[in-house]
Amino acid sequence: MTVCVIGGGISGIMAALALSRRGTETVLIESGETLGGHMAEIADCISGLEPKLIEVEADPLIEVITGVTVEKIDGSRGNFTLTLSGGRTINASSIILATGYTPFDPSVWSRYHLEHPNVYTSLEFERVISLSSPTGGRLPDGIRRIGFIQCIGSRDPRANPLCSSVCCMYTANEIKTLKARNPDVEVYVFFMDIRVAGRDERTIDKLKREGVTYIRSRVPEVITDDGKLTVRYEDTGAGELKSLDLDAVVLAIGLLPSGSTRKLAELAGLELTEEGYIKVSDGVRTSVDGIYACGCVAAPVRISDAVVQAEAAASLASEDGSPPPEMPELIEPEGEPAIGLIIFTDNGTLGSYIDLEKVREAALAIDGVIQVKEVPSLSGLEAEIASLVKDGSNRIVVAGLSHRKHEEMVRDVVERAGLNRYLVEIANIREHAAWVHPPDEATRKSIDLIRMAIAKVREVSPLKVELLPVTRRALVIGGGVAGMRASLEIASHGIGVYLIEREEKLGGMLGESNEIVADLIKQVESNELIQVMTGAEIDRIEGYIGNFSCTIRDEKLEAGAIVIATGAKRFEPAGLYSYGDDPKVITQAELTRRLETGIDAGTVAMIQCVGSRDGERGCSRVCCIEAVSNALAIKEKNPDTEVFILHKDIRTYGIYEKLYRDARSKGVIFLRFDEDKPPKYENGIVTVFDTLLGDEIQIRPDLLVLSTGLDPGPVSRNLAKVFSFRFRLDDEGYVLTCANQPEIGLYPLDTVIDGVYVCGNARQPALIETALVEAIGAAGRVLQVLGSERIRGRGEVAKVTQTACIACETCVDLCPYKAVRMVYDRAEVIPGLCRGCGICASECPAKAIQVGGFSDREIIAQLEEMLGVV
Amino acid sequence: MVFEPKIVGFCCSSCSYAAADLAGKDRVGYPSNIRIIRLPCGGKVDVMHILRAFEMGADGVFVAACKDGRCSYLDGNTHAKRRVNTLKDHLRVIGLGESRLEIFQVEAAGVSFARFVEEFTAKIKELGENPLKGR
Amino acid sequence: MIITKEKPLEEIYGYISDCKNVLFVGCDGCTQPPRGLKEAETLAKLVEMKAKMEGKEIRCRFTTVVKQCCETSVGNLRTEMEGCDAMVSLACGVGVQIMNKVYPEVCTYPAQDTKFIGAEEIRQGPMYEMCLACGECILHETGGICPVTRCAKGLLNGPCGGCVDGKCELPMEVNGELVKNDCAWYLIYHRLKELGRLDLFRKYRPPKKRSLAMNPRRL
Ligand SMILES: Cc1cc2nc3c(=O)[nH]c(=O)nc-3n(C[C@H](O)[C@H](O)[C@H](O)COP(=O)(O)OP(=O)(O)OC[C@H]3O[C@@H](n4cnc5c(N)ncnc54)[C@H](O)[C@@H]3O)c2cc1C
Ligand code: SF4
Ligand code: SF4
Ligand code: SF4
Repeated sequence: MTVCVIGGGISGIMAALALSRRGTETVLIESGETLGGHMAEIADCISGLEPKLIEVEADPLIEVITGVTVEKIDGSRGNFTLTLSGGRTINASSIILATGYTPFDPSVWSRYHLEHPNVYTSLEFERVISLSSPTGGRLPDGIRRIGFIQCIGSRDPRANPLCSSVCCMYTANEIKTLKARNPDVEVYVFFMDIRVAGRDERTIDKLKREGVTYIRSRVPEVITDDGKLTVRYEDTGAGELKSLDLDAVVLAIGLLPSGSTRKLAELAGLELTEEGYIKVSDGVRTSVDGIYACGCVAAPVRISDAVVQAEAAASLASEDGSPPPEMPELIEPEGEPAIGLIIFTDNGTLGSYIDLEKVREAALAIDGVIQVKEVPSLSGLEAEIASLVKDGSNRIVVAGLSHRKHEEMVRDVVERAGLNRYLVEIANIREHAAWVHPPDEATRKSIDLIRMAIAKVREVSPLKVELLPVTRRALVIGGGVAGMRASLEIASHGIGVYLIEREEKLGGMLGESNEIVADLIKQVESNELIQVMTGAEIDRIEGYIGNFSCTIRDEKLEAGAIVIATGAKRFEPAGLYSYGDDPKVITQAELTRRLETGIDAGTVAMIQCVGSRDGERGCSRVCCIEAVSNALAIKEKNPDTEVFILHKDIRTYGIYEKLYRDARSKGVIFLRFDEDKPPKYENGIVTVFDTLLGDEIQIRPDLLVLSTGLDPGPVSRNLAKVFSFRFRLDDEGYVLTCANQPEIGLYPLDTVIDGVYVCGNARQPALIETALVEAIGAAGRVLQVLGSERIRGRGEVAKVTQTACIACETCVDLCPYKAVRMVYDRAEVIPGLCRGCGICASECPAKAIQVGGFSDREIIAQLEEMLGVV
Repeated sequence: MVFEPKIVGFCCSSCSYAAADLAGKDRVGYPSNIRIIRLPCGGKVDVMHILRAFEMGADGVFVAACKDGRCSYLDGNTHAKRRVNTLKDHLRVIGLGESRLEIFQVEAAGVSFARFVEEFTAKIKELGENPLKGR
Repeated sequence: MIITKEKPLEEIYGYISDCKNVLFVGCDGCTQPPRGLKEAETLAKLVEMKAKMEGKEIRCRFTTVVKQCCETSVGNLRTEMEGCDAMVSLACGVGVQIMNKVYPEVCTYPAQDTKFIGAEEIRQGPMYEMCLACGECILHETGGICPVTRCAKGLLNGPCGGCVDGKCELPMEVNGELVKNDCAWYLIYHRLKELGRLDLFRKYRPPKKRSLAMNPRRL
């Protein structure tokens, strides 16, 4: 049965795609006219979003309905009925809410002077610096000094008590883009705390080095006088009131629950948090069984986290049992190439840029072209291609689309028409000609591009799409919370799991004493589909998606997909602050354990960032939240205990800001120290230079608690050895995911190896809650692979002509994916590993390697056609 | 008649092709002399194909690949850079001149693509016709 | 293996600039970096284009053989070389000589400078000389590190006084830069220590039989 996704932002889109990959029919409902949500407004994210929009539109299992709202929700899990504004009803087994956020509107407060032409909200500013702006991202003349004010409409009990989590990060991104396009502009940032981690932290460090001034202050006021802008602020470092003249101001607005969330919650009977977000447990489950939430409806999150939740929600909502349809019988082309050309006219608009009649005539004159058809819209493509194939075309060229966006879709269509999916070529006469050149030149170029595409498609030989058998079993590495949760999720869909733990016991860092862990261990151990192997160290993993083989001692385990959940080690503070020598000095993790029975201390001091943010390791994300919740727990038991937290920034992002506020109101004392003046501990006394007071403070604690962070190194370095192919870690030593790689990664749980996914602390420091969501999401990615008996390999891979190979092994050394091996003294490409980059082919001294779709013949045919030497 | 050079652009499928697409989407015009041949990765660019292009009369050839650290295939762009730079030396020696070949590392942005194509086309126009043409 | 380095294009062109029909022959054998069909084709194209630029015509063809150090293998080129007035070999110096021996009727010119017997650390990385072919191997006594080749002075019984911090006192010029090589005997000492065979370090080795390295040699 159908799953209904409400909200067509990035969360909704990715949830729908994940459902469809599991073979689940999906209806995607968007109240606006187009899909994309807020991501479409963010300057550097658009190029990542576009291909996804097309994928959704073209997906046969996804029905997109725009411009409607949901008016009524009846029924329960397995049988919901949704009534839409037009009156249409939809039956759905589950519902995923992805209605996102509403940006805070600062015009409600006159003190920010949004009416001034040079005061922008951050979303407006995205447009200013976008390359698609009329100036290509250059600022209007006369703006030389620009100030960014963070936390507008966040961390403020009158507007929104929560931290919006993303504004520190996006402000840095905006400044980076701004600086790239306007190198001379002076930039000032007004902030309370900087709450970023990982790569973003390095971005900010770099910005500071490049001269961006970060000023720690309370949220300032904007003053306009005769059109001049001044920002008045309290410098919390110096403790005085200052002002700064600026030419423009950007307000980093927070994220509030979207307007319709409340209405939807009422319709479905969902509980809300006091701030108006959907209340969730397990990260994505709402209070009503069968209804899930992902993205900014449940709390403000960044895109990659929203997508993690989308994967998890989709995994929980997926219906099993409908494997993807088998591929139709392919017609192998016989005889001479007979080419059918389709000109996509973009609803007739293409004709206003180029002379379509001329193009058509020229095309018909080309050798081998038997038919030319015009198609106005994408929806007409399927029928037209089918009819071309029926009328005898054995190769198709589509002019007017883009490879980048439409290639996979067009191939699918061609395949459904019964042709090999690689017998089609696109001539991008729209973006590469019509839209960028004057009409006559564009027309001439279009004809050339079509000729080149035809020349290429004439040379193509149908590529074999190998159906690789899938071992329908999963391998989960690491038996902590994330690994166990992932195993359970996979097993709940009837798929067997090997769960490998290096230690003698399951439980990971938290240990069995933790309630969640104990419960998970019980479930895992009683699940027949999960085969647990403890005390087991993996020697080697080989193979490729669908077909991995993992060697443990002398045993070989076969699996179709892998989840890495190996976590990270706690940083060992040996030797720091007399840890180990002085019994009064303990770690935060030890405190958590002791709090179960209660502690006896009149004064507790906590030092943050021990072994984190030290140049070698980054922010561990979880320690601030851990410290603040422990401080609260102490205060709750005994309000008279004095608790001091010594920190660099307090990073209680998102909903955890509430803990911070609570802690302050209950009298926990926060002292901020400077990076280069860390606290000292001597003779039982902590000395710290408090930046707010501008003076030294001494504390004599009964307990000194060190908030130690995570150290991914020991675990992940070992992992890197296990994989026989090039496995990548990020700069801090966490497993590199596709989210870290390109500008915007929409597969945040995927490693650089197809079929290998990562969750929990191995990916980045995570709270238990987050780790569990990631685990479910990663399980979802695994199930997308293991859902069918066979998966198709890529066609565009390298192939070695073995009789030509001279066994020089150049290719073996150069392949970034270790996809070539020597078999009987000849190179052989492992199709499951090859990604078709062609690095090997262009370097092979024997010219023995060709890459499908990019063979020498195809490339030279295009050259000949364009240079007129046919 | 004004000289209209023929320029071949080998573009990787990631940043470079996207840059060309975005130039279209944003309607940033550039000279129409270039014809793009799409490659999966800058690392697929083959010295032989570049030489063939010149031999067949191309007036200029450029290779467009992703910025350092951005290659979807980890290090295809560095291979491309190495090959192009060696070949530029050779082109100088044979008298064709090294400026007819250029490698260009792009961000996925229409404006920078258009700007590069404009500059490169202008340079090739200045250099004049490929002296090998018709020989 | 045999490490070669391509000669400057001008120089190769100089050998054959007066020829009309040239065959470029790659070698699929042991030279590092490999110089096979693709390299032969590239060189052929470059030469042909240079000639055209000068208003001349040199017909350049290209091919490759399994190993140019084998007369039989080179003999297979008979039909291919028909009609050419010069050949260019991309093999090591052995290949060039065999080509000249098997096809005395035309001259075969070298496209590579043959450097030494050595190894590369990583693909396309720097190359190191490893073996001088001295004719009497002592690697079993020196922890698998050859002092004859890798000690600048070819010392057989431990380092000279010029070993500073494990580096040889004689700097070498590499690509215009002065670099210091590891002292071979420093490496040997540590390797033998690792193997627990420092007794070999103490062993005296008499001077080598120079006659074994007298060229030309034959077996
Ligand atoms: C200025 C700014 C810059 C940012 N920059 C970055 C960045 O660089 N990187 C990053 O990771 N994140 C960034 N973010 C955060 C990012 O915008 C969010 O993480 C992301 O857009 C969340 O997506 P979503 O799908 O959850 O919500 P949305 O994008 O809000 O999508 C929700 C969708 O649901 C629809 N909808 C709402 N109600 C209904 C209803 N009742 N029925 C049907 N449909 C409905 C809406 O029309 C919308 O299309 C930025 C945010 C801001 C404000
Ligand atoms: S602290 Fe939170 S609310 Fe303030 S700018 Fe940073 S992310 Fe936004
Ligand atoms: S590079 Fe070519 S010749 Fe060398 S091993 Fe690979 S396929 Fe064989
Ligand atoms: S095409 Fe790329 S991924 Fe495939 S074998 Fe060659 S180098 Fe490896």
